[in-house]
Amino acid sequence: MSARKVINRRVRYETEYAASKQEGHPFFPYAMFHDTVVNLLIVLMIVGMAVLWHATAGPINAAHPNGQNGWLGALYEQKANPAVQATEPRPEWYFLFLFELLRIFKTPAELILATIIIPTIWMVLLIVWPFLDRGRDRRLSRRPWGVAIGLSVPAVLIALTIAGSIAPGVLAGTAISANPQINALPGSALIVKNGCSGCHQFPSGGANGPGGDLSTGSAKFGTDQKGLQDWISHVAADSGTGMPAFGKTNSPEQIAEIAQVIASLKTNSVEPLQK
Amino acid sequence: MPIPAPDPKQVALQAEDWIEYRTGFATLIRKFMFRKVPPTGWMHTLGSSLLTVFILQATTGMLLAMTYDPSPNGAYQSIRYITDEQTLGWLLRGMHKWGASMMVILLFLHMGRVFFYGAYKYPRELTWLTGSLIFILTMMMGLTGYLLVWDERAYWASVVAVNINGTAPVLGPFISKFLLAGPVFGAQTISRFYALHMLMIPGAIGALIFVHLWLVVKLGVTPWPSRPLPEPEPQLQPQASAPHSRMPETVAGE
Ligand code: HEM
Repeated sequence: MSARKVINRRVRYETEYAASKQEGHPFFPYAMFHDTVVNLLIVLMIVGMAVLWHATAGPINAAHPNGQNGWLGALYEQKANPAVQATEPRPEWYFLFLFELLRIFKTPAELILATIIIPTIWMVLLIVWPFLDRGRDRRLSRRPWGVAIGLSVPAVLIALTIAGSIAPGVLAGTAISANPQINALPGSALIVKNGCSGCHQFPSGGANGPGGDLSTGSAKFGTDQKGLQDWISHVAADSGTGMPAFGKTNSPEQIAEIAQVIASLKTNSVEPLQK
Repeated sequence: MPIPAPDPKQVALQAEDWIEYRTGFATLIRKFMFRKVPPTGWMHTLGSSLLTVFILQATTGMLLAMTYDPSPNGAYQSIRYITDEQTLGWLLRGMHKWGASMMVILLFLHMGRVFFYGAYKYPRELTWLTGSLIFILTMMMGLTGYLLVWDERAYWASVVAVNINGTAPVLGPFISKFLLAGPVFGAQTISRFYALHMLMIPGAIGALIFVHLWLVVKLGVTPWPSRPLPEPEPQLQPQASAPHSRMPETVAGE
């Protein structure tokens, strides 16, 4: 950019800004008054939420082994037990939009969209935005694209957050399907114990993602029990699906029993256990 | 002979002069307080609220750190101790927990205000840039802080988050290995998350806030856009050393 253009740009900006300052006021006490009022309000709100959270929830004790949820959630859950995944993995509310993206893009190939394309590109766009949108006029009527982006990005984020906050129906007991023979297999109890339904759909319930739908078995492996065993034990984790490596917390026999149930869901009849 | 009682006004003036002569703070504060700003309103208060909440988080965080035990066996016990037994510990933890959510909400609101006012535009690009780095780092504070409670929910959410992160190409696996600090989630992981959460990330955020605020004061805040930019002034001649020099006299002396 030529020196002349730079000067011109500065002059135009400075002239406009000096004119706005003419209409303005000293920081103290005018702007500082507004700041003080809002800051006090915010701190009061934080204290209020802390009080409400603590006053309406209760501790874990003999009568309430899983804690007592209040209006703003529990004070804490059970101590983490790396061997048993008893709850569905739920992030803080401000990560729910990412969590929902994981549910939308499930297969490893699509997962790239949820993990890379969306967050990374948006982060880069956020950082360089002022260098992309170089228009000088700040009035909304002169920034149709800016306004469109400024309204649609929050709308999408809010929609994803709401969708992500709708809790899936996690399974309890051993009735994972309508087939009592499958439910009686030892693997069915293990599926509930390991919390598979926190991420996967089963015939009688579970989550519509991030994991794939298992209500008619595995689309990827069908009745290939060996493939299922490897997948559940460590291949899923190694290939970066986000699924934990259940081989770390289950014996090979238990993994085989789980794989047997997934294979049986495919045919809706009990498949023989393969070791 | 009785010593005359000192005049309090004189004492105050002398004290101010003592400090001013040695530090220049009095002038600095006067310049900051009485600087002229364009018309501002309630929307301009979100940035200062963020500063307040950041200071609140730092303070409650330091107080929590006095009791919290960053180990797989101690973490959960110390969280329960703070919540159920320590005097006002529940308030400390509650304020830190809900302050974090408030921080994220305020970040979005502040970004929205800056966006719709066009306040990231020339010459405030770097103010926005430092702000977006602060935003990303604050989200990382949420991620690293969540695990520290070490209950079921925190543990498994973090396992999934780290696994997912590992799927990112190129840097993903490195970052995941760095976060885990070992083959599985354990003692090393909790130390690493703790160091990130209470030392490294907040240090970086603090430094960035300083730069951010420096720019805000240097450039002044942006009022609601209501006026078109003035036409270029053709009679102005660029000076020899422009554009690196300061503004030409005619403008700077306005
Ligand atoms: C802890 C985080 C932050 C703090 C403490 C902070 C603080 C402030 C303060 C006190 C102001 C003065 C005017 C106002 O309050 O509106 C300001 C302005 C500004 N902030 Fe932030 N901010 C933070 C985060 C961000 C983020 C995430 C962004 C954008 C990505 C951002 C972009 C800006 C810009 C462009 C201005 C200039 C506004 C103008 O000229 O009117 N800030 N910030």
